[in-house]
Amino acid sequence: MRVPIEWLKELVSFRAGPDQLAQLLTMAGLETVLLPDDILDVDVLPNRADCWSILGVAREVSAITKFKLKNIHYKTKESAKKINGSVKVEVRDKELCPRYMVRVIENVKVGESPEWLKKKLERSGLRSINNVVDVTNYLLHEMGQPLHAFDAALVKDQFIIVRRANPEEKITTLDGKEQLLTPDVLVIADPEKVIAIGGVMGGANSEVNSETRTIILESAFFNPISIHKTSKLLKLRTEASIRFDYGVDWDGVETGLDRAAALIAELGRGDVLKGKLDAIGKSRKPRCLELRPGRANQLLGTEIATGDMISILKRLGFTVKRGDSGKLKVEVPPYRLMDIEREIDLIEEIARIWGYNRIEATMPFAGFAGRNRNLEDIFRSKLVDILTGEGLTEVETYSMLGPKDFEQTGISQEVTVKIANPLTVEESLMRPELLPGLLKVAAYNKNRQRDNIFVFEIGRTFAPAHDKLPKERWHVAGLLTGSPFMSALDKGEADYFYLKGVVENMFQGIGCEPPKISEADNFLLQPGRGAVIEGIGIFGALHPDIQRNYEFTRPVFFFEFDAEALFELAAANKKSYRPLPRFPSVTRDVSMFLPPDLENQVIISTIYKTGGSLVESAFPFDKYKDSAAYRIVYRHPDRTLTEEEINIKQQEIVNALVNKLSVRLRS
Amino acid sequence: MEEKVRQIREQAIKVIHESQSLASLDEARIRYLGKKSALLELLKSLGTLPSEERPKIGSLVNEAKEAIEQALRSRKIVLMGIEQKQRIAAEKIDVTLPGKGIRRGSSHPLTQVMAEAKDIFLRLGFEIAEGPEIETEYYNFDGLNILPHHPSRDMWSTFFIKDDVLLRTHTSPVQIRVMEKHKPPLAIIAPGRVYRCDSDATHSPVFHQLEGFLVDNKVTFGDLKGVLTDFLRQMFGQEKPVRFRPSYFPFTEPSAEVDVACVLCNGKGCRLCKETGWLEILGSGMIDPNVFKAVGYDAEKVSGFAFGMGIDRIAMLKYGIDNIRLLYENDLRFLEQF
Repeated sequence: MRVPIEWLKELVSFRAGPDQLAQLLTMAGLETVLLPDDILDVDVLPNRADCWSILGVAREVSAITKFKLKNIHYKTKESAKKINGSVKVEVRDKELCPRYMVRVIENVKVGESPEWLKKKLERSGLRSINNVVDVTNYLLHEMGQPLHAFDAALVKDQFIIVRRANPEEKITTLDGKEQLLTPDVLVIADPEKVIAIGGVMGGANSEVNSETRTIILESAFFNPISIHKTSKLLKLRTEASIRFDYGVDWDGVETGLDRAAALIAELGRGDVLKGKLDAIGKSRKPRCLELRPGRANQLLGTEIATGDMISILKRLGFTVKRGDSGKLKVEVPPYRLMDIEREIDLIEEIARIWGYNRIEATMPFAGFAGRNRNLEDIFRSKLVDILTGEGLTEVETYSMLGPKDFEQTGISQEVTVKIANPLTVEESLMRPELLPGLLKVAAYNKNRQRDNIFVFEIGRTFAPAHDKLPKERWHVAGLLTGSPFMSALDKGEADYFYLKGVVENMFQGIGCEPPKISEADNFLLQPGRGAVIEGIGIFGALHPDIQRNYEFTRPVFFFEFDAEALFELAAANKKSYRPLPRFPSVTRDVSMFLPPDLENQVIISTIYKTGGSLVESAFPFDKYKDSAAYRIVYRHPDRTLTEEEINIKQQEIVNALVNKLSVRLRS
Repeated sequence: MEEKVRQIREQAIKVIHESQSLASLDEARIRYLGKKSALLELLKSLGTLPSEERPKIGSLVNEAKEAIEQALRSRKIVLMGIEQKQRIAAEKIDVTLPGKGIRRGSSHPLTQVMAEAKDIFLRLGFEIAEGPEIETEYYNFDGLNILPHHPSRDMWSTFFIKDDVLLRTHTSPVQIRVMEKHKPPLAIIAPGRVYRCDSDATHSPVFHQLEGFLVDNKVTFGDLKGVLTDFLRQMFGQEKPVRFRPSYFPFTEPSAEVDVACVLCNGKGCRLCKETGWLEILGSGMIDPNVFKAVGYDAEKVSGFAFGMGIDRIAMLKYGIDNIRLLYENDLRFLEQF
């Protein structure tokens, strides 16, 4: 809200310069920036309905600087003719419109506003329209009370009905747009038609124009919740609706009406009819609160004297009386009824005017209560350390995906959590997996001439559930393509086995063996080049179809694991020390031709099973096409093995490989 | 005889000195000191000499032998030095060529800033709690005293899944979830992703917050100032001015916005801080009695403060990032800078 300093000075005097004033207001809770030409730009907080006007800001200035508010002098001269008989008001919904007031001004000459008024409006960021509308805007800005002027001739029978709109009822508002209404919307109508959306915008059909002679001037208190709903429903936020939405000053309804009538009569040389109509629903009762100064000091950690508290509250317009046992009885001024409801609200008023900067910073007296480490959080940090160490860079992708991500990967859109009001369709479905996000990252970087992409993400995935809330699960996923080396002098690119090395190292890093790994049958993976880790997830070469959909020219590898399952696996795996061997080991090799489709892990497990406890380890050390060589390490924990023992064991193993697995020995 | 010994000695030493490699030196050793060498032959033939000459010639031969050995030793040291030099020269490489091994990855700047913030609070004694990213309207709004149809509800533009299920707009629901389950004293931080229907240079529909709260029987607004000042000084530098200014949040009262002196101009006023000299970093306040009521606490017996900050914003300020989208585009040229 723009506040010209000279206008503010009409309502309160102060010595502070413009810069200092902006600073004072900011530090009291009205964030204020000084614009060029001595105009303050004030940001009003959602609870401060009372500050949506120059008067409201002036009240704050007065409370902060201790200068008193100036009285505004005005006199509404009325003609002898009475208002009764020239206009009729019927409020049919007093819930939505607790107070509706009307005055009538006759013989008005609608024309240009005087320069002083035009200038004031212009400096406040408002456009001058004519002397009648300008007066309503002037008072809206100065007092925070929206007013509306109808051309009485355009109101059928001069009969104003305040009611809910009928279903499908329509009105063309002052901005020229046609609005379709619902019974949730409160309207101002005459017996035939809607003439305004109450508290939001007037209708074009009753607008004041150059021909207007008689004006029906409206000033009201509309139900804030109803205005909020209407404003949202119609996507229409106006200077008036903002004020009504926050809640206007109950007493200001009448003052605003009287001042506006006086000013219109003065500028348009009209005659204000005698009297005013005031349709009141439930009238507002004053609110009285109790304040315990001790409680205030205890909560703030201060020692503010009761006298200082009283002084602050009085400067803010509260009436304060001392009550029993040191308590204060505080009456809330009408313009603060919207936000001051409890003792804590009064404590906040005292704190902010006293000054937050005067409250001493302390450390909590009882010490801190936090005791437990969050092991899941620590685990995820560890995964970040492990994977960055393995050459992968961490990315953060949106948790939302679009239909295209599903089409390109073939992941089903059916079982996803959908956003009802997405910003764009590309961000409308909650991710069930991390892979699509990583593929987007890879495509983005590939389009920027980037060949070597090694990335991972740790984040939550979402799936619909029978419970009220969807199921959320932490995943960790990585994508690898191109060369992992620092230097282009080192040749070699990521392949399945490079990826598997990364995965195995990750397991090593979290301190456990991977569960059973076997060939995967998964639409995301290239058949024969992907693996599944039981209960954890999948890894391998991206399926060629998906590869093509993203126009990747080099092979892409990925893994996607359930991070929560990994955590449980790691947590269950307790490390324990095994004594170091005291006797030497002996190695023997076996070279062989393998039958097609014989997996390494079958060979290894056959060696272990046959070799029993004497075999310490076994691994392939040479492999080309169907020819492979395995090394077997023998050791006994309590003695040195003899040649003979080893030869017998080795022969048993070789026999098992030949007979059970149909390998053919080489040479 | 004497002359012969002298000749052999001189010749041997000359040859040794002239030998250019360890191999030729070894040849010289065999030639002059080997089993078939002239010197050894002389020694063997000593018996043929008259007895009075024997000691003299014998000692001459031994002297010559020692001199030759000495010459061999010193020449060997010289030649080894030369050979080592040659080998070193041959092994010279371009030490400026790139190193071997795989390129290390880096963690995301948001992870780094979040880790730093978490670490500071963990050291102060807070513990980490988490809640779902998809929340009920109750935990996200009503339980936090954010009432339906109140203008304050518009402070959060919300993505909805269903009528009363939404993407959490802040990490504050964790407050309610933790307090419902546990009794004070509590010192909790809640890091995580949050969502709002906003998208421009400073707003992303997905961003990160760190929420925190402390509840005990006599927590004061002064304690709020103490803890948050300590945090901000550790995060932004011990000398950074910090200010607390009144604000409004439905779930705290009194509420405070916490500013630090602008990281760019240090308070003089610049484009980054919109000429105010200050940057808004934290929202905070004393937990509203209505929030305590919602979780079944007695607001007369306990008090506490809560705070929340945008990790994206802090990362942007810390690293001078001018567009929030950079944090989610995942351009490797950007990420590799951290």
